[in-house]
Amino acid sequence: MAQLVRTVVIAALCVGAGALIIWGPRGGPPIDPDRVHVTYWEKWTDFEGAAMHALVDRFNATTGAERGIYVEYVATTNVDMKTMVATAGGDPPDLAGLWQRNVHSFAASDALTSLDERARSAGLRDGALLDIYEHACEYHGELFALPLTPSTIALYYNKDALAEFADALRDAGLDPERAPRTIAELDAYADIIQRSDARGDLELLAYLPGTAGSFAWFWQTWPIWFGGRLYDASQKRMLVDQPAFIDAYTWVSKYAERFDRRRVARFEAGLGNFASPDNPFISGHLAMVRQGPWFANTIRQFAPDIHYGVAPFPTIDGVPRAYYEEDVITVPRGARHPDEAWSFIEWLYTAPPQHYSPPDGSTGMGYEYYESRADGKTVRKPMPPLRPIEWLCWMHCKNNPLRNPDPAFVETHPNPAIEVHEALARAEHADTVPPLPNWAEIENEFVAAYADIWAAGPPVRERLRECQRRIDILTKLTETRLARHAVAYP
Amino acid sequence: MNKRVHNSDSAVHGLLWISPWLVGFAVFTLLPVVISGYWSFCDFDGLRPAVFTGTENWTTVLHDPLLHQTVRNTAIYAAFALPIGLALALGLALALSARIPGRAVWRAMIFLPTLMPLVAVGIIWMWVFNARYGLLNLVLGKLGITGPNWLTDPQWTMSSMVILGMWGIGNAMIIFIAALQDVPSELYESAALDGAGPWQRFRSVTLPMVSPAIFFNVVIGVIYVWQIFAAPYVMLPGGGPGRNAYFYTMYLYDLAFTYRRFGYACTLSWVQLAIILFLTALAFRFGRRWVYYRGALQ
Amino acid sequence: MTGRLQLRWLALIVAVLASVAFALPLLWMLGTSVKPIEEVTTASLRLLPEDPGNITKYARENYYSGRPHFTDANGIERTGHEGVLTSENVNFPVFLRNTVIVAVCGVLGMVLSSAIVAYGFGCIRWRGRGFFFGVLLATMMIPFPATMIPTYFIFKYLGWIGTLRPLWVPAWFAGAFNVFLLRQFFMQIPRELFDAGRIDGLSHWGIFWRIVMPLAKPALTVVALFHLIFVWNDFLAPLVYLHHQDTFTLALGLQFYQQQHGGTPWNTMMAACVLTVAPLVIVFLIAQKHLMGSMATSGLKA
Repeated sequence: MAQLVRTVVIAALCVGAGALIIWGPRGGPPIDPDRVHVTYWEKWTDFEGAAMHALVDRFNATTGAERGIYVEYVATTNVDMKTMVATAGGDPPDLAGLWQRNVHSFAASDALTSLDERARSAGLRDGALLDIYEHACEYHGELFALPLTPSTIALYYNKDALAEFADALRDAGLDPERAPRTIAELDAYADIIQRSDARGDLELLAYLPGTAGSFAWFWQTWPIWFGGRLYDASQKRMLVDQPAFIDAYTWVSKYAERFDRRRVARFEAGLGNFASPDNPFISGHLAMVRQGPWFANTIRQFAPDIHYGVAPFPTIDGVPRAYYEEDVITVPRGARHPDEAWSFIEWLYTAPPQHYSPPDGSTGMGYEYYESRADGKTVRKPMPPLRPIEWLCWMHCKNNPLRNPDPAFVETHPNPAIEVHEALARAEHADTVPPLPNWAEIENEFVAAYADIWAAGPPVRERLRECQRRIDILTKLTETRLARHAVAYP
Repeated sequence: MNKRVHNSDSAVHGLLWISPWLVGFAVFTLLPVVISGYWSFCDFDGLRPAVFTGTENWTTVLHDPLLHQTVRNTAIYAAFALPIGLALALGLALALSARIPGRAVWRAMIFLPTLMPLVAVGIIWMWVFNARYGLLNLVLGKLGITGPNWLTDPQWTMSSMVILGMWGIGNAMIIFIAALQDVPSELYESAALDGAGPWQRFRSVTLPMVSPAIFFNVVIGVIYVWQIFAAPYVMLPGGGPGRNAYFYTMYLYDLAFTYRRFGYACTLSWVQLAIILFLTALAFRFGRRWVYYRGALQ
Repeated sequence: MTGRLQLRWLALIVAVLASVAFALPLLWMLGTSVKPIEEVTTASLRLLPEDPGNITKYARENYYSGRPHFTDANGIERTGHEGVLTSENVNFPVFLRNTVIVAVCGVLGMVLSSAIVAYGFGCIRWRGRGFFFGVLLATMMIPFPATMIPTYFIFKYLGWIGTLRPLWVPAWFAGAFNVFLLRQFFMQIPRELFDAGRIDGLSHWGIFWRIVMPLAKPALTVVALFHLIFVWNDFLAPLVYLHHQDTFTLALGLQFYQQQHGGTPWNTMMAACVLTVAPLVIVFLIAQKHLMGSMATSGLKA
């Protein structure tokens, strides 16, 4: 009997396997032999991915159909590594949606197709783009990428949480109606806004510097808020052992100590995923977070009822400083259809403003905006016609890469604080990821130092000096390696 | 002459039969090892042609702090996970060799985790190790112990990896069980007649008799630790805080496919090969002294 | 005799405790995979959801349909999460199909080629066989990472990067360990059977197919199982060779799902883990004896 059951199960498994191979699901759309198939790898999933997907569909139905091009959108985790390995393996996608931080290393190792000429003839090289976002796509002055969705980093704060502690804040001479402007104020808020549960576990903190790579994005920006810079282009040197770094990281270390390192770590481990209702800001565990403009989208998606405000991130002297970054689109070296790939990029930037409608069966969330009327009520309005690139940034709740955005972009933008982000993009003090070909390796050293300081609290000065020493070695190495191919560092 | 033809075939015939392996060996082992040997003297970024750089990579091996840390981490892991794992596996094998009810079920339950894909193992244990909502700390909490932050506290990440490793001792346990079955019961009986207690029986009969199995597990373990990759790669990318769980193969992978230092990564492949050969040879040399082979006695 | 009885009690207690400890993480996985999202991040040791009557509903949501919207405690409509099998970003059915392709092609090749090579080593006497067998044994010590980089460029040369071929074609060139295992088995086949075959006028090829292969079914099953488990487990090779999610295997797909932009909720993450390990558990239940038995003998005779 048991033997029979076994035979039946084995037979069923074999038949199942065979059926799966023959009739099983296959990824990707059917390929139309009359059109050039352009593969596009992009990091975005979820609503961000859906927005780009909608643009790809629109392109395929219009310009793509005219020119015989079909773009396939493929969501890809760790898209930078995948693209690099695939490029080295001779099987790159035609379009790759990378991060700004990848551009220089990819360009330096000859892994990207230059877009300089193409962009110039499309009129995208003479002031159409905002300088900071354009420069971030260049390596040795040559354009290797185009911005997709740029951002600046700001402080998102929960007005209700501040209101809850309003009396205590006022007693301490602080204003519960606004966000802290200096690091000293941030410290003062942090002393007041906190709560623990019966077991002594932290439940609410005003702010948490956090572990690199977790929800605490832009952990590397601390020196900037402390008035320093990450990199000195004239010396070609990271500035890790400089005073602003030491001050900043000493502050980070003390912050963890203040609430007891172990308790803080446990608190951190319990914080939920970014894009989920458990996001610590949304679930009420953190009153303030440092985030980019996309965060408005997360809030809109998971907790539209939160009363929040946005302000420049506090700095040591109260002078607003900007940190900017952007997602970019590139054509890897060895792509089979670079011209068709460029057609898509060009279309993003040059197609006329147009309307987009939500896909069938969706709630249409994100395709509308709210207008506050004089009587205090808000009304839902359909979004205005926009150019594809501006529509994408609008949908992602992010900044605009263009020097002169469509007025409707800012007016109707779903991020109520888009002015803050746009103003930061034009701020006097603005810094970003250093344009270094070996940034990935440097960043790794840098993350390790930061993580150490945050989690274990070693002497900051010594730890950073060690970090600088290793970075200098890596820099030297990269310089030598690039020189072998007659490429100048950085 | 006639006899030889009858009993043995020509070498060509034999080679023909083993040709699938020979071809595979030549293409997927020998050729890569040779190429890797050449590239270990080159600067190669995977996209542009390799540039010969002499012994540069090999000198870097001596001065690469991160490499030294990964070797140290791997050695620390081996130093804890192997002995503890073997002791646990042997202990469980002893318990599960006794005539107890449901023996097959207990064996199967302990063996099952060894079949789990390591990526799934990593993800499952990330959840088990979660400092606040994870199984482990909740159980410890019930016992009145405040569990540590397993994956975020640099002092605990290595311990977490060792604990994780214990989940996969089913293989070693099964091998020990089989070895225990082969121990002739007369040996126990005569030991009992000599008045030996359980501990003495274990020391003087069991341990010598299963020593070949211990030896086998040590060799397998030594080769295995240098290849640890999937679980820590998923759980603690980059080795976690302090990079205390950054293992050799993770660094090798990162060098090649993240930093595109293929030349240097090839050097490390060779170093890895050398380390494994050295340790295996050491195990054999050292093992001869205390491994007891029944055959030798007869 | 009481001493011996006490030892047996001790053994039973150890066995039960250890088994429970080993099974708990799996039960925890299973339990979390049928919990609603709001119950996942509560510090409670419950293995099942608070309302066990709704298990099928939660299971359907996590594994299949997802939960696009839900109303929270304050009566506010919120966005929920996707179900594993219907996720827009992650195509688990495709991952399963790819894994099965690699498994079927790989297992066929591995069994056949290993058997042929094992026959060459175990059933034919020829000059130099000892030497080559020694080489074969030595290759068992060479780990994949040590050859990974040049192998990658060999496959690049063949134009196979981004396809499933690098994952199963090498299996057609025999695996050292499997050859070793089968050779042991072949050498235990009585000599007389070979002689009888020869008297009947069979060539080696005939003896291999008509006599050795039918007799070796248990050993061949073990090789097939080992390779199947290997394929299901393999992570580094797919990670290196595959970049397009339409070609991902389950192990790689699982990591892909875990790493997705914005994070993955623990309940659907665990559901994905369950889906990945379930086929292996079924195979284990069918072939338990084979697997555990062969694991034991392979160890002792090495």
